[in-house]
Amino acid sequence: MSDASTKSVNFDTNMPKNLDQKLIRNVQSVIPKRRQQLLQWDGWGYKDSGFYTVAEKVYFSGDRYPISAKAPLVAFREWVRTNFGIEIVDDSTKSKMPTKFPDPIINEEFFEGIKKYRIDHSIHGEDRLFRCHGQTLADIHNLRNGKFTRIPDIVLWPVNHDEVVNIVKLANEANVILIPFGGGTNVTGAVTCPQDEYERCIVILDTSQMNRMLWLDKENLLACFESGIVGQDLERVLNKEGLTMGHEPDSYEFSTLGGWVATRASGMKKNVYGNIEDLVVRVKMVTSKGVLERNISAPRVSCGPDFNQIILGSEGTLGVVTEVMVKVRPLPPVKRYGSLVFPDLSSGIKCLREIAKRRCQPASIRLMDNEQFAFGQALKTEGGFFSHIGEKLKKFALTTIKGFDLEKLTVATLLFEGEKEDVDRQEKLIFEIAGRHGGFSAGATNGQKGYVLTFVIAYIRDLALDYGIVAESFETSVPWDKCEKLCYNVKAVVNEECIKRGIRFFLISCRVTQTYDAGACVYFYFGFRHNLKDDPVHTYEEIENKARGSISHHHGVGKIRAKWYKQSVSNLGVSLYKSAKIELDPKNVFANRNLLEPEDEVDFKQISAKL
Amino acid sequence: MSEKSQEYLKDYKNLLDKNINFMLQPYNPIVPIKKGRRPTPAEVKLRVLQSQKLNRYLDDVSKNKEDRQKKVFEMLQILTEIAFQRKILVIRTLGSVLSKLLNQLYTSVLINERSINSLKASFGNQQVIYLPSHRSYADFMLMSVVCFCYNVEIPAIAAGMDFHGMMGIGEALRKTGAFFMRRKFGENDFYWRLFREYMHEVITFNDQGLEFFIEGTRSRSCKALTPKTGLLSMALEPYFMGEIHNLKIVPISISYEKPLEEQLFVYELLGIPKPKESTLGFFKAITNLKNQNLGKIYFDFCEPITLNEYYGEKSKLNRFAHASEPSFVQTLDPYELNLITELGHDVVRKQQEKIVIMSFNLIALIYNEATFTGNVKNLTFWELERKVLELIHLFEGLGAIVAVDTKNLEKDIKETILIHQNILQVKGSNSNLKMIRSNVDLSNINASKLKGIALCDEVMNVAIPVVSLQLYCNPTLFWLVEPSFIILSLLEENEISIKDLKENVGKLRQIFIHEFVLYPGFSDDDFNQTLDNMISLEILHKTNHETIELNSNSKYINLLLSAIAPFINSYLNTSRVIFKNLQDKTFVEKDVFIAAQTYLEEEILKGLGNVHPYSLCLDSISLLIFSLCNAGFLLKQKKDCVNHYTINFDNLSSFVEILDNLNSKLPFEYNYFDVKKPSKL
Ligand SMILES: Cc1cc2nc3c(=O)[nH]c(=O)nc-3n(C[C@H](O)[C@H](O)[C@H](O)COP(=O)(O)OP(=O)(O)OC[C@H]3O[C@@H](n4cnc5c(N)ncnc54)[C@H](O)[C@@H]3O)c2cc1C
Repeated sequence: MSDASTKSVNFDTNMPKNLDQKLIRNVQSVIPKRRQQLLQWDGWGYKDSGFYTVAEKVYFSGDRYPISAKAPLVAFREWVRTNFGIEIVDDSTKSKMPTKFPDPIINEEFFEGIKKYRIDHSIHGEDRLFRCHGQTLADIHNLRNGKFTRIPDIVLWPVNHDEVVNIVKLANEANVILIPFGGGTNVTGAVTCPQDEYERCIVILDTSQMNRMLWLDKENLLACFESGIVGQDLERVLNKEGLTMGHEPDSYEFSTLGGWVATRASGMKKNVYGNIEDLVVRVKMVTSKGVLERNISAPRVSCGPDFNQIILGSEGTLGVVTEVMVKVRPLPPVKRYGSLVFPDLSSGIKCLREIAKRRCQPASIRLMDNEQFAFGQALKTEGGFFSHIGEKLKKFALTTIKGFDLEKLTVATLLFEGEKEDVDRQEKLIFEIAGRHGGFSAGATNGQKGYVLTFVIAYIRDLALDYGIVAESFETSVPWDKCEKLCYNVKAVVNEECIKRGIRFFLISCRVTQTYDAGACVYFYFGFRHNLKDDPVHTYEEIENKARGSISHHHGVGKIRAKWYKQSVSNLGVSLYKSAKIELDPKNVFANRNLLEPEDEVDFKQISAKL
Repeated sequence: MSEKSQEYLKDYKNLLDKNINFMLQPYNPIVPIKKGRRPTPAEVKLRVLQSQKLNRYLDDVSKNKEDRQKKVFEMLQILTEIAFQRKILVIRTLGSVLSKLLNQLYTSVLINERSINSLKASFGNQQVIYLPSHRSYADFMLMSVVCFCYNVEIPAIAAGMDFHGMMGIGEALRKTGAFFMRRKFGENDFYWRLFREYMHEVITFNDQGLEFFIEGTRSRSCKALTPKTGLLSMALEPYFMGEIHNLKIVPISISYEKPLEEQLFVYELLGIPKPKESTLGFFKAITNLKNQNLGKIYFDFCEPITLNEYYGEKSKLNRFAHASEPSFVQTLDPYELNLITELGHDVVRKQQEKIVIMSFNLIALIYNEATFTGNVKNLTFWELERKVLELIHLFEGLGAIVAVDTKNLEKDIKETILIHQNILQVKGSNSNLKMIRSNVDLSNINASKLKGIALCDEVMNVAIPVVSLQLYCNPTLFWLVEPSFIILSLLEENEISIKDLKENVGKLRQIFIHEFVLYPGFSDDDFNQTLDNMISLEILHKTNHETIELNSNSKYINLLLSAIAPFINSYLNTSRVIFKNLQDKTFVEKDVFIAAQTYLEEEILKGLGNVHPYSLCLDSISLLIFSLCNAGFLLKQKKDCVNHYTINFDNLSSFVEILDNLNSKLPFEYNYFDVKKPSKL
């Protein structure tokens, strides 16, 4: 045994707690342990869902989403033709997963320890490749082009907190890298292996097998889950009890509670339920120095700096989140969709601003710009989905309200949740405010369709990539007074940069997805058809960086936004974070290299020399 | 009797003198914990039904809605079986009956008024748990009568289901606060949870206090039993979880001059099982007693243990730890369970300290010593009086409370011998003390119900008075075991260092750990205290700072050795039998009972005086098996809920050797009677 292990740190939680085993609920996850059985290996989502073309007609496959697999998307090919100059051709073949993988670098001491503790593990290539990436454009591009040279060496599936404690202890003793892995839905390169790491063994700690509901307290509306539980599983379990957590990031089918905590995620319905930081009451994180945990669950305490906030957003760099106690709410008796049409983006934003000012936001309110509205039209099915909004509006606009330009109008989608009287009142008020800004209600179905669209859109990037179009979203948050300007400026910069680079076909579109007292979150979709000679992903990032002015609202930092971290938290902030890192992880076991730019990273060699 | 004992005994008042009329006397009891409005027994039940813990559990175990409904119904039924009520008229009626009985059976029922008054004065904002010692069914009734007479609310009482089975009586007891617990509920998760939740509400919601017997059952041998922690940890859980701020534990010592069940106990110890309680049997037993005199009862509330103080000083208990999660989802952790075990042992110790030693206890010891040393022929009444005085000095020197009327010693002794005339009588012109041979005919006993073998009448007739007598030695062993161990370790030694002495005593404690409830946590205190006391009593001399020697002139040496002798002899006999007869076999407890009793019967009939008839007692055999397992001499395996044993060969022989060695140090023979060899042998 090494010297370090003899003076090894105390891993016991200072607070002994025995849970009543009978009250623990096992949760059968929709996502299998072998993710490759259900999920697409080089793209987003389920294998059986996605766009495909037969007889020159585009369809969306599968029955997981309320979009019919039998009805073709009639306007889609035309829209692609106009916007990107591309003909979509028949193709329903799916790419095959590689069969050759880089050899694993195995740390024998660690591996022996894992076997001794009987921790479920794999060094199978598929398991490793499946967990070497998130969902950035670069990740998918690298996968498809076989560009990942460094993938994880060992995958572990601990089943509870105690196993994680043992893993972290072993990792410190044997000096391996641990990367916590939840749903792998991050869009920041957060779980992507450092490609230049050949010294140490890289171990993925997959949390998916720790997904139990440890307890539920209906009286205090609190529940405690293990961190690996996937969003849709969590909601299903709670719904059965007549409850909901109400945290619905667009990735919630696949992302995990631990991932949300580690990235400070934000859900669509935050207006009613709050963002993850509002929902978390207590969280347990296993660090290299022991377990960090607030020992009180009182609704609020005045107790020095809140160390929950060190855990929230730590992106796997300080430890592994194992258990999270969250607030839950009774399921709302009424859930109602709605939509509003505005003559243009400006009036829509003004309306949202007023709604935020009066703090009467429904559970969700989102404003799409005209490009997105048009795109939504392109995804309508024959006689089915998305079929009405265009026709009806056209008629309406032409006959009744003059001056509505189909090329300019914007649409807001609404979701109300609550008691019937409250929803009625809220709806009335929203329509009233909308009216003052030249908007009017366009019905509930259009609203509902808007939200379904959100989930379907996530699959489109994979289709686009097949046709040489690179596309991705990015988002930020902005004060109200700069909101409209930001939308305009980002679009202008992208336009300019594309023209500069000779890019003819591109699309930039935006959507205001969240509103706060002081500002909003704006979400951009940007895609362009690339010239195969260049490195399209690099070009994309260049353009995004030109357009972007700050850090994310909810996508986190990871590796690809590390350059904005220092400017966001100040130099002193960075050194405060570094001190925390040195304190909690002195051997840099959690070396996924998120948050800090390479030149800011702690010199751990120097630190260990001093020890 | 010393001043100290006398002073202490002054606080006792005879309840029978009070002439309480249970039907008319106003009863405005004070409750341990004052609430805005008194909770009703029905509300206690309701809260159990509504508890989150049970409802979450039901959700978990029910297959569907119907199934859940069924389970809720089942829950209601069980709850009805468990729950107590509070009916003043029933309390009064039962009280009247009981006070009549007490008047008939006892010469006096002495209550420590000072202790009950100071307890009452401390009432107001802490829930109380009363934990009486348990030597008789009368404990249970007595406690309620005392509460009534002193205007203390009768607590909710956790009682065994055997009472519940008695038609009429069970229901009557329920109305006076008894709630019922199945014996083997450990195996039924559902029942266990329900009962636990009920206990939870009795502690946190109800206001009248809780009573149960920490020893779990009546001690047939009249020695202390190892405290059971199941009920105690249920009752303490709300405290550990931080749901109640504090809790008061009141150990209660009840001493009987003659327990109601004396003869029943003797039979049970010898393997003839107690008849199942039935109402008819109960009344029969009572009418049988009618013309008996059972002498005195002493009843005392010990100094309360307040948990905040108790755990505040002794342990690093951190109740805050549980506050971070809802208490209903948590269970106690091993550290806390340990704290509870220790508390249980402290409670039993406190009870023991306040058990009052009466003259017949002393007489029993004296008679045994005289028998073992072959001096029984010289045990005249006059000699007895002299010895009783000597022993009072010994017990008081060791810290016990002795209630012997030294001013009227002759009368005191005569009365008590009369009460126990089934065992000892003063006979002949020399006024010699003599043991009375039994005269039983067990031919119509159903042999299949026996736990051991069907002992022949001759052996039974010897064993019954001997075991009966031992029942009066046993309560004093709390004080005598440690001094006996010290003397045993010093025999044949000149002087010995205190350190070595302690180590030797430690080994003996280990052997008899269950027999005498020798909690390891107390070994230092016990040893040091006893050593000081024995030096003051001049049984020991300190030769210098670190060494000790026995004062071979001390008159107490043989007495102390004779107190422990039956147990050493019994352990030797049984372990020898196990070693000889049960090698290379897997066996169960009953096999040991049979083998041991068979061997002992033979030996007793030989009349050599090498085996003490108390060895026949199954109680000690069980406790020895338990000890042997814990020490690794026997290996245990559970099959179909029954323990199966095998011998760990090499070790057990060394154990037998140790006991053999101890036994041979004792200069005793166990000839109580001349044995008549029955013709069939
Ligand atoms: C289509 C799509 C839509 C999205 N929509 C939203 C949205 O609406 N709102 C939003 O906030 N985000 C959104 N995201 C981003 C992403 O889903 C979130 O960042 C999510 O919280 C990541 O969770 P995960 O379980 O997938 O974590 P992963 O991607 O597996 O990991 C993310 C980071 O957290 C760390 N981590 C994971 N689990 C743990 C743990 N138990 N302990 C310690 N560290 C851990 C990892 O090491 C990594 O650094 C979206 C992403 C996609 C692809």
